[in-house]
Amino acid sequence: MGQDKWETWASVLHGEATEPEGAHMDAESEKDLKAAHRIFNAREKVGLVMKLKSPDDAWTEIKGNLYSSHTRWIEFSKYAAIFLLSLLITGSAFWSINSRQKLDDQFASISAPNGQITNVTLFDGTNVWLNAGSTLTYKQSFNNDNREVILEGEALFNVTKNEKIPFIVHAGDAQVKVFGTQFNVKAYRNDMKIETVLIEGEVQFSSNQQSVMMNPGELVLFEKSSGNLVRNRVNTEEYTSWKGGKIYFNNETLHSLAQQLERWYEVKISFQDERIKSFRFSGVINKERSLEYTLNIIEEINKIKFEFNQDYVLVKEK
Amino acid sequence: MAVSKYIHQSLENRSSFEAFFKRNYHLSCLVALRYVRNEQEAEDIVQETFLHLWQKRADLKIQKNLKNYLLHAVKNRSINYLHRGKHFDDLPDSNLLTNLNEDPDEAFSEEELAVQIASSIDALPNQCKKIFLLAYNDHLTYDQIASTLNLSKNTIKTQMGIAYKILRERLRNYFINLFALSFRRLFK
Repeated sequence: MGQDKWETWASVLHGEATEPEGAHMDAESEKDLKAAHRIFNAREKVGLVMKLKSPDDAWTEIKGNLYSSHTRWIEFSKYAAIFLLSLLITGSAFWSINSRQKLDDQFASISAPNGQITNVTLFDGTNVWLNAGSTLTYKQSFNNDNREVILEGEALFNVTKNEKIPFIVHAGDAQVKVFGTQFNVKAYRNDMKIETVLIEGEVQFSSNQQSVMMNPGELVLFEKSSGNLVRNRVNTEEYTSWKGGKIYFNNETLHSLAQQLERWYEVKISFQDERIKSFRFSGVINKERSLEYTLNIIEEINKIKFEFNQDYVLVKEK
Repeated sequence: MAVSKYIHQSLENRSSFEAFFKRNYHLSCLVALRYVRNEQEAEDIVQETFLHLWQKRADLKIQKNLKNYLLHAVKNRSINYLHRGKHFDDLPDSNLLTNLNEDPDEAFSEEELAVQIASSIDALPNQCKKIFLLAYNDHLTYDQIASTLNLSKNTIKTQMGIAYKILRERLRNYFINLFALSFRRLFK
């Protein structure tokens, strides 16, 4: 193996080559290989470190507090956390007749067509990222006295702080109420559930039946048909990554993957067989990549293949 | 030495505390991230723990392993946070932490290793670092990296080998300590 052993090991670790057969190793190489494995296996935790502030920046943040009282710091950190709140809802946005009438002419809306991600700033300074195929509706009187919006689709809100007037997002039968924060809401029409993920701070999630205060890192799943609420802890990044044109799928069904691809790439995806819809997929999809490229990757790691037709893509079992 | 009045040297003054903070900040965050799922939360918890440590320094009776004490305090605070117990004022009593004595150096070894690896990656040559991170962090295939960076696949392969080799060298001392430890535990 000699000096190329590192290349070989790196290739094997990263799935670019298969284990060389019957390679005899001296004791030193055994240790090296063990070390290479440990380095590779630590990648998830190393990735976390890289997302953290540098120790220098963190020190700059806290050094001013070294002489202040403990309670003041706690107060401050609570206050700071509210600004960083981030939240996401998945669900459908079917409106009752009543709320539809209320829409009338006094409402304005912004849409991001399929295949596009749009960024807008509302009158109160709130910044909104709208994911592909989403519409945000708000009253024309939307200003510092009235901060209610209606979302169909998915959006990331960076809400201007105002303790007196809450910012309310209506999504289907549910609503999310905050006072100044960053949060993400997903409420596409054809989903049967409303899914809320809170990243930082506190937020009140309300359905017709109940109202809960959510904890950071928590997912609340609201099933429309049964009215049940399920709470769970999740990796929040998987739910907000779409803003950067990347989306994480963690053991998601091909059905929900196909829905996302349809919105991003403006294609129609059909399944040859209902059963295939429930196949599971994990991985990262990057919007920057072409559809062909993305589908190729999905094909490589799943027992399926895609067939390009005139106006749709057919998913078949391999 | 009057034990009750003993202040650990890292807590003696601001600059020693600063060094202690910077040395252990990332490690502490990783420990918190075992329990809480997002980085901002973890960083808040860690900063609060450090601050509390500083404010209570006169009352603490830690004579040896302040770092180990810190990591357990971070752990406890994270768990409290999860349970929303809000007992933020209760730093663990140093005498009551039973697991402090069990595996003093091994308990957080995975986190420790990850911090070491991260700083070693940071010191890789530029091009090599870029390629390595795309594979290691972003999970791209060699083909994807080659097309992203407009390089040949062979270059990617070579640079990946170099990266692992350099990292292994940088971590050599660390691994020796680690293996020595496991060895010692084996024969304990």
